Amino acid sequence: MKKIKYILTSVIAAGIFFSCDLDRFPASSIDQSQSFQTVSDADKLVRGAYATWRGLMYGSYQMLSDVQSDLLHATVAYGNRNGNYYNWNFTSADTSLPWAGLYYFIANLNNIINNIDNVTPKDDNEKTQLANLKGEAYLMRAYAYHVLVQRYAKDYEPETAATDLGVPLVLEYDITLKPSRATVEAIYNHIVNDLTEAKKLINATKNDVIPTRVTDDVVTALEARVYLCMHKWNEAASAANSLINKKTYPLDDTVDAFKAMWVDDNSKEIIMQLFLSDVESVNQNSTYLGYSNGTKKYTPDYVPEKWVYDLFDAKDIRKTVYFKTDILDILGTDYTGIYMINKYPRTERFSASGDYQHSPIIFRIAEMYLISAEAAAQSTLTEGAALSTLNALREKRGLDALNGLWGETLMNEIRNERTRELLCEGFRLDDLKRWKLGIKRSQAQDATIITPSSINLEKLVGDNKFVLAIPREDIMTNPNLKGQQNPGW
Amino acid sequence: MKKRVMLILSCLLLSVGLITAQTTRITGVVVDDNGEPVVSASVSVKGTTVGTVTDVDGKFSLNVPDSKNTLVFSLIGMLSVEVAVSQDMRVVMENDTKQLGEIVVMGYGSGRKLGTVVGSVVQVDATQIKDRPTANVFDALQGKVPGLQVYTNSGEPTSLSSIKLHGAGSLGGSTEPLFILDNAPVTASTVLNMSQNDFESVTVLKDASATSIYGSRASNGVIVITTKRGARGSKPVVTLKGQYGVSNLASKKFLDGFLSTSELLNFWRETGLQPTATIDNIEKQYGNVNFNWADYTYQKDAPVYEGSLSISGGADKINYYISANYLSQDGLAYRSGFDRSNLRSNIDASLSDNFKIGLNLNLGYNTRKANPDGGNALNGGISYLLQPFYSPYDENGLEYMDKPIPGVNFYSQKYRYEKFPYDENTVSFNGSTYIEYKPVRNLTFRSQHSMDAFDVKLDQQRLSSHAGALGNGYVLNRFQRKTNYTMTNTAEYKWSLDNERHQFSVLGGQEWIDYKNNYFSTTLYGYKDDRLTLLGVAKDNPEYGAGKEEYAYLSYFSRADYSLDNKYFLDLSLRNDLSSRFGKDNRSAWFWAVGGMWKIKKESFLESLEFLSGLDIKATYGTQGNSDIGNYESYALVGNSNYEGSGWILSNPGNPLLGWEKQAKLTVGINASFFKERLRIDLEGYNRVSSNMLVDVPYPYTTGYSSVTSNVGELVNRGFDLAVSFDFLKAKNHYLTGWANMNYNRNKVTKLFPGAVNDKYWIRSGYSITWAIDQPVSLYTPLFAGIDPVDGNPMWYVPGDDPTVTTKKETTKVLSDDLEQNTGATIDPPYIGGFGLTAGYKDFSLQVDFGWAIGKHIINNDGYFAKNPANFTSYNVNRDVLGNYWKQPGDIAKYPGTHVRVWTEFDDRLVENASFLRLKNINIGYNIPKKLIAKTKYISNLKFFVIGRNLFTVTKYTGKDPEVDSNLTYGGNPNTKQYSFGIELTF
Repeated sequence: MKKIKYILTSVIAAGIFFSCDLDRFPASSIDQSQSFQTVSDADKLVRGAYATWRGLMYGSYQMLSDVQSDLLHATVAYGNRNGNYYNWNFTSADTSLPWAGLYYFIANLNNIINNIDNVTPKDDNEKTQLANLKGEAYLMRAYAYHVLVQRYAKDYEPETAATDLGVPLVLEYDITLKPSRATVEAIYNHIVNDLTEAKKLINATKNDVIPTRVTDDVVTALEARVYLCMHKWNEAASAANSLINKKTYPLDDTVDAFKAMWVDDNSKEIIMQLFLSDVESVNQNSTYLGYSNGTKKYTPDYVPEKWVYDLFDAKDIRKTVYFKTDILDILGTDYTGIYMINKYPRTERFSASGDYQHSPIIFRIAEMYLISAEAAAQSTLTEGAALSTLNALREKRGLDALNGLWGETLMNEIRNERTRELLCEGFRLDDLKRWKLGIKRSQAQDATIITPSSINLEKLVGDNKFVLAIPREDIMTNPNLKGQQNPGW
Repeated sequence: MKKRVMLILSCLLLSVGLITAQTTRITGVVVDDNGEPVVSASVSVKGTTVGTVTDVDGKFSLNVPDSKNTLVFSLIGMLSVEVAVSQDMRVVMENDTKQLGEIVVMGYGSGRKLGTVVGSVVQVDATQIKDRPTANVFDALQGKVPGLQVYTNSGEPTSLSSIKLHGAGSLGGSTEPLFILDNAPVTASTVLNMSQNDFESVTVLKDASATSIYGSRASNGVIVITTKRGARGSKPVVTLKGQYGVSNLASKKFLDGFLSTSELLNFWRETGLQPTATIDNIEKQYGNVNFNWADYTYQKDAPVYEGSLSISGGADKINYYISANYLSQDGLAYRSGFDRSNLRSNIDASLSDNFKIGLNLNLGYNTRKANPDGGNALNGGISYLLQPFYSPYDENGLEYMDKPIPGVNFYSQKYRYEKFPYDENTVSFNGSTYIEYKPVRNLTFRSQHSMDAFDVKLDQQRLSSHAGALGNGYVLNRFQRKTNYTMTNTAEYKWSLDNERHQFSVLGGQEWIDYKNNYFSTTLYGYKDDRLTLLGVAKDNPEYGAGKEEYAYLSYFSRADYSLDNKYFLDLSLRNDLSSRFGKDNRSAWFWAVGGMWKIKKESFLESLEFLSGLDIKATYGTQGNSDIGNYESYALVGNSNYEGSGWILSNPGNPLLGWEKQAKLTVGINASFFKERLRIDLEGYNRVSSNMLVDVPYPYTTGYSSVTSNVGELVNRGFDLAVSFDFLKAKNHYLTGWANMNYNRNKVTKLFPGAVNDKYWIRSGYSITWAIDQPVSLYTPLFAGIDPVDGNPMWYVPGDDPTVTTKKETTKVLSDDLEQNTGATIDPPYIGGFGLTAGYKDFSLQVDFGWAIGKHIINNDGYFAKNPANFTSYNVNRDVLGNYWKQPGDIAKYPGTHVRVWTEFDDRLVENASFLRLKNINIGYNIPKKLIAKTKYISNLKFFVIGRNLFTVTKYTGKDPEVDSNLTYGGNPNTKQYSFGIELTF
């Protein structure tokens, strides 16, 4: 008994004077202070930024502005999915996409740009690597601000850009910052700055595979896109032409080759697309097809308006690739003869039961033709060049060359070509803004299956909802945004 | 008292007595105050280990050493008596029904009699809990404890209750109380793994004096659960219970409010919301079907059954309680249910006069099934929107099995759950062991080690034969282990001076809590054969997941009590806690409390007041903490996000300054009883101030984050609890006690965070929940101003400059978020309570419990779906819209014209009063008369009972169920009601 007493007493006493380690760390993440020491760390952070970028492409990030535009009609089976945008009754509580995602992307990029110079390269090889990594971050930041300024601010107008409100410009990773909105001009100037930095730093070039990371050509392509928005026609055209003239990215001219771009994510036209695999997945655009494995029928939420389908000539190789017709199951009744958007076709590459995953295309050469043509068409001196660039694209797509076009008729054809070529790639709403055009939804392919409300929706040029509201979360938390909400929200 | 026949151990006990030399044989009989024999009472010789128990006739005999002259008689449920030794003794023991259950466990250390506790505690005893036909024991507390708000959010059998004491105490941190099971903290889900048949009592500790000793995490009150133990020196008591019942929806009012096929098609024709051709096609193909989807989603008469067996008893140095329980409850939704088996063994043993050890063990195995199509799923929570002209049965009445239901385009629920096997089971182990050592009189050292552990295993599949993905099955396996180790060491010393006039006790202790929760999972696709389902058979699209959550607490605490003349009581407590969750320099926090009580009735100046039987006044003040946030919030982190195989992204902003949320609570109370304790009134007022609250403070998205967890703000909850009970009848054969209680709680935000609008208010975007200075947490939405009879457009009031003040002057037809203003509606009701009665007449007993809440509000998001035919075109509609919408100028209508797309906006039309009164429990029992039982010789009690839960509800709320504890609800699996029948047999 004595022994037991002795043991028990010491057990209790030991407990009372017990002292313990209270540090607990997650095993899935590391402290930021330890995350940026080597070139390998920098590479991981840049890869993480790419992964974030991938999450900001396709799906709702791309679809919403097309749904909002005049390309599509909602079927009666759409179940109000994305209905706020389709019906233009969304509010500042619905506009945090893409804002929140893009600023998170920017926070990651700022973290890289602010801190990468603290990493000491071991050799020249690492030095080049670091420079390239920093350049990639600059390019991505430019891309992010460009999307932001397009969606949340008025279109760039050289006369008013210096006073029109853009978006808050955040260049430091510091969660205490609460900047007010910079002007549209300041944002664009900054985008150009970032592109200049990127251009200096990036040494990656395209080799024989489709690039999944930024190359020098990607910087040029973004320059072309940005200059077009800035009405810097010469710069836009020359950037676009430099890529066209390189002949690295030849246009597809057969149905099979062109189809491979959309089905297999494989085409020489692609300047850059983001990486995708069975374990690194992407947002999907399922809304245009809605295939059911059970019924083997399609129930799309949105189908193209009649004018959109009619815009394509029968000879156009894009017509057979971009559209699909099959049996539609709409509220339990079968319909045929209706065309659906098929740019994001269902494949069984990543799942035996099929899905709509595709590598998000960041740039493809066709857009450069359209940028070049549109920029050149702005001056009577270069209208000829505009037409020939337009024809170069048309001919590859199976259309006849046009001639004798100038002024508004030329511009109209360029617009139609852009609508055709970039159909449902998320460009339409911003294009209408730039072209100062309104929206008028018109005849349905088959009114029987189209939701009556908003079927003939009409919005005039400059309707306030062309410009998204600054999300109310930011209006409320950032006192410096007081009075800076976009008009009409 | 009736006869019992089991006579175990008495021989053994007698033999102990025989060893002692020089003894005298003493015999006698023990009877109760009605003169009936007391069976199995323990009889011992004071100051020795000699003892026996009484037989079926209440008789005993034992050899008493000549040196001893006092016998002690005790039996659980009766008052112990000490009687001088004499020949042919006749000892009367009195029933102790009131004292039983009144020993309360007060944080660490020995229990105390309720009447001597300074702190505010309310105990609910086992009889009110054990027969309830639900796995969730907390549901039984609704309306029972003044100030304790208990809502059961869902009809899922695995759902737990949401519990708040004295209002919501934090804007950001958890508002859930701390659960203590047999002296160690556990989670509510641990309790769900146990049988309520094993619970002795559930005690709610409400004020600072009672809770501060628990320091960390005690700010929301403490719920202490004790499990049953056997009584020393009592014969084995075997209890066998079986119960069977059925569940149905508590209310079908909402679900029955939708249109039939002809009504819906006519409505569409009338409104033009669908193209005529679409309507014609539907009518042609499906016009003769009229199906009720709610009846398909929520089935009828889902069974719930339960069986339990327990054996308890004890010898002079050991006592035991051993039980086995089984419960099976089906939910109303497909594949929803809970199956629970558990074994409990509680054993205490004295090794010597000053050493005691004990072991409590609960082993559980359960299978949880929850319908996966809840919430926002058309084949689940919002199936009421499905069109009545579609049906899961074909024209021959057969359920569509391998093809989607035409029209709705998904597979029937029955088929889905055949093809998506789901098996989640939990092995739970909850054990605690203690050693108690009393080196000298009145000094107790105690060391307790507890482990609360779960292994949860999930096997989920999509069979390859599923027609929707033929030949591409998947298998998901997940394994999770949670362990929570608690070590508690205490030393307690009690002493008294001046012939027990001054009584003291002091306690000091230390506690270490170490929590670990790990899981890993793998999903693989490409399975081709339903029989080959192990991981690795197929290898496509592998998905791997893993997680780790850990925390630790290190605490030191002390308490001191003093009482004078059993009239004046004072207690003090002090505690220090360190938590791993906070920034390195902010881990430590001190909590303290002081309390006093005055038993005024004991003063001579009140002695003459005959009608007053007791009067106590209490006041306590103290501080508690809250640390209920994520485990790694204080760190700025970088996590994984792969691109081409690797990658890091910012994953948490971090806040190294993060520290404890603190609360100070002042409670003043009066406990009074009148007319020989027939009438009892308890009144208690409190002021609860929470500060440095753990809130996810909103940040602009431009920072890259939406919020950062920080210590901010101040919140006050002020109110009172009132409880009254009265014994209308108090005879042995017929008794009737009525009781009622209520709580009033006024909740007020007194300080916000930098960044709040005008430093005055903050509307949580998307939640409508608003925190505004000097106001209770309220719902802010646009205020609907009616439909303009001229053009059929909806109108809203334009708020004034300050949206915290309701302004109803100008109107607008343009809806925007800027229209949000104070609706005056609070989520948490200012008034909650309950009432009921317990009654008995001869062998019948009756218990009735009601719970109620007044001033509770919910945003009925189901109403948004159900009353928006122009927004959710093609779906079914609530009947309310029929004939109620604007058609032509001059119409006074409830809903706008068909040109308006959103008929019901998120405005105050959806903010509904969800006050309710619910019959939580009715239990009618019948004991077979003892005379009949006695003939069996070995059955000591046989009881039949019928029990009902949630049998009726009174509410104006038009949604699915008013009991939901949330700002907003949609697609919920609503509460159920049960009828159940049971038999309890005691040997």
